[in-house]
Amino acid sequence: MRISLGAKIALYAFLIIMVFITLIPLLYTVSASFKTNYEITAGGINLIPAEPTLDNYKTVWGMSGTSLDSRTTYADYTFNSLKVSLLTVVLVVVFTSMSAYCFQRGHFPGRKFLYWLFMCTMFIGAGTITIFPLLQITTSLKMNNQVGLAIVQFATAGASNLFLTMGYMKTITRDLDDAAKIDGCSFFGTWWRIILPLSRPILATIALMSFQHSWNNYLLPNLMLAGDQSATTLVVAVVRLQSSGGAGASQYNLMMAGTMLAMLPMLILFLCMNKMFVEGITQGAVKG
Amino acid sequence: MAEITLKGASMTYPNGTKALTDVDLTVRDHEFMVLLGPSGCGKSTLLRLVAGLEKPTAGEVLFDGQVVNELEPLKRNVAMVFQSFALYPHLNVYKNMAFPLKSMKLKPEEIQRRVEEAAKILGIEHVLNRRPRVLSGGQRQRVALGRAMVREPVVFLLDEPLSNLDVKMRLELRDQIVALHKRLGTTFLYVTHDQAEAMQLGDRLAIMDTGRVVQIGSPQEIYDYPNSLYVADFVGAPKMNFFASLLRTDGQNWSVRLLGREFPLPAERIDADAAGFSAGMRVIVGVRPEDFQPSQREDAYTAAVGQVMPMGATLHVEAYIGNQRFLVVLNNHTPICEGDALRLEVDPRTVHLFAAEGGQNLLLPPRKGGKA
Repeated sequence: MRISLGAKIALYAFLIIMVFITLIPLLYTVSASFKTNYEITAGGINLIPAEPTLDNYKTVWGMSGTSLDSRTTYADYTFNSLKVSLLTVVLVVVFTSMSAYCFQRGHFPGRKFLYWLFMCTMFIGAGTITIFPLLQITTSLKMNNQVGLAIVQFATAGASNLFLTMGYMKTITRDLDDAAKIDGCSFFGTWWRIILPLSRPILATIALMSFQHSWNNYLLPNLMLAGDQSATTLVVAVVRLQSSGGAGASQYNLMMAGTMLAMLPMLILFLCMNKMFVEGITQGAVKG
Repeated sequence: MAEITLKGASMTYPNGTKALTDVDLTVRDHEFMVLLGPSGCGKSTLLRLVAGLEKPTAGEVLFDGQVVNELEPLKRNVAMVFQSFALYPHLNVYKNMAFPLKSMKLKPEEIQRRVEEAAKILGIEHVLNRRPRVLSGGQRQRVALGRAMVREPVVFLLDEPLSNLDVKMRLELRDQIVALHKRLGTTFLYVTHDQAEAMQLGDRLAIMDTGRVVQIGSPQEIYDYPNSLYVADFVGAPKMNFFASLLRTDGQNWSVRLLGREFPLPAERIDADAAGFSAGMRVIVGVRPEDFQPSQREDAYTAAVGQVMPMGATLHVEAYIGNQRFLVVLNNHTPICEGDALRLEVDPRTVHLFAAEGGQNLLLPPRKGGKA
């Protein structure tokens, strides 16, 4: 399709504006993390700090927790986030791959009904609407802990991951299943020895998306882990940094530095896996 | 080694598609049987029944007289080669070939011995460490053959294994498959829609049409005596010429009108009562393009030459007598060009006669050794 020069200029102008809209908060966070709290609150919105300082980072990393729990350190929260995120990823990868394989390759009564039931959950965002029933369930099951959080995060993201993985598995020729069956593989054996290794690109993608989702999640850990502050995740802790200076004195500088530290692992992960991530998404979505 | 038998085997898919209807077929021990038919005629389904990938909805599959309907593929000890090669992309050639042997829980030394031996026979020793995606089509299919060979199966099942290859590679691998069958002496069941392939490879052919086996015989038997219009139309390249006609009789001998002439039918191949002959009965006369012979006889047909298509060893000549168009195959040295008059004759012993309704062959089979 040929685009006229005018339309091209308009398109690029729009894209540049969108990039700015996306980047400005990020740039501001980077900039503010090197400012003093006084400069943030009184110094205007200049991007270059007047007196750049690393003190915020030192304070955040070294500080002994938030106002709610003085014994838990920033490193502990990072470890908590890592634990919850990795557990979520493991659950997502193992169970999504298994269920996608069953739906895509299996023949059992009610398969279509179950599939569509799963798909319907895609249209109900696991956010504010479902949070009350969710908490009711987790409370009655005594699941308000890190493992419970990982299970809930895995379960609420299930449908979209299933959709992508099934789309990808559809591109794997069924002749391979037949060949594996003739070569002595059971239904499960075919998944384990053939389909699972061949689904690596899409599984890497959903692993990355789940990790990011879990790492950045605020609402669920804030509510589910409210009973045990030492178990809470990094994002929740970072938001609490705001009030670490006591009532009426929001520590924005520390919050910004904390945000930067929380963002860093995701940023590195994305930069390293960007190509694989995009490939996985487009293959799952387009070819499926 | 095994004799494979299908007794009244039928297969209807859950969506109601009838893939096979009441198939009776025996593949003898050590035999190279080719299932030949157009796409969608059920030949791959038949192969899948034998492999154990599908269960017949009616009838039985037997290996050496034992019903194996419920037996898993591994326990049947069959090996299958697919059109798409079906090599495991994440494993190298060695691991692909060793895959079934690991399932059979053989010792590593035995696995290595078998893989290396098969690789040597197939000439793929130098690619054992490579992944399938870097191999050529021919090499991939050799690996697939190797994977089938190493398990020393009782029957080889090959589902259009050469269809994805270029012509040169196809011919090369065809020879290799023949050699492999001779060397291994195993029962081979081979599916193809390519009749040249079927003719070259098969000890016997089973011709299939819409889920049924319609004729079984050696390639020569089927070529010489197709039992129906369908088989006559399907087997032979270029295709047989068909001429609609009516049966005539003088009370003793039978004849037809062929290309505007009275044409006698071979008396020794007629059982008029059994075939239900009657004067005026509508029939289809079949003459293979290669059975038209150039002739100097006075009573020869005179045809007008249309397009002349050189095919290398032969010429395919489009000929017309009146409005009737037909194809003739001539020696490539025949001096002929479009617009010429061509004098032709047909040996009555070479014609085929089919009922216009039902399509069955109305003549008796030719005597063995005699001309059709």
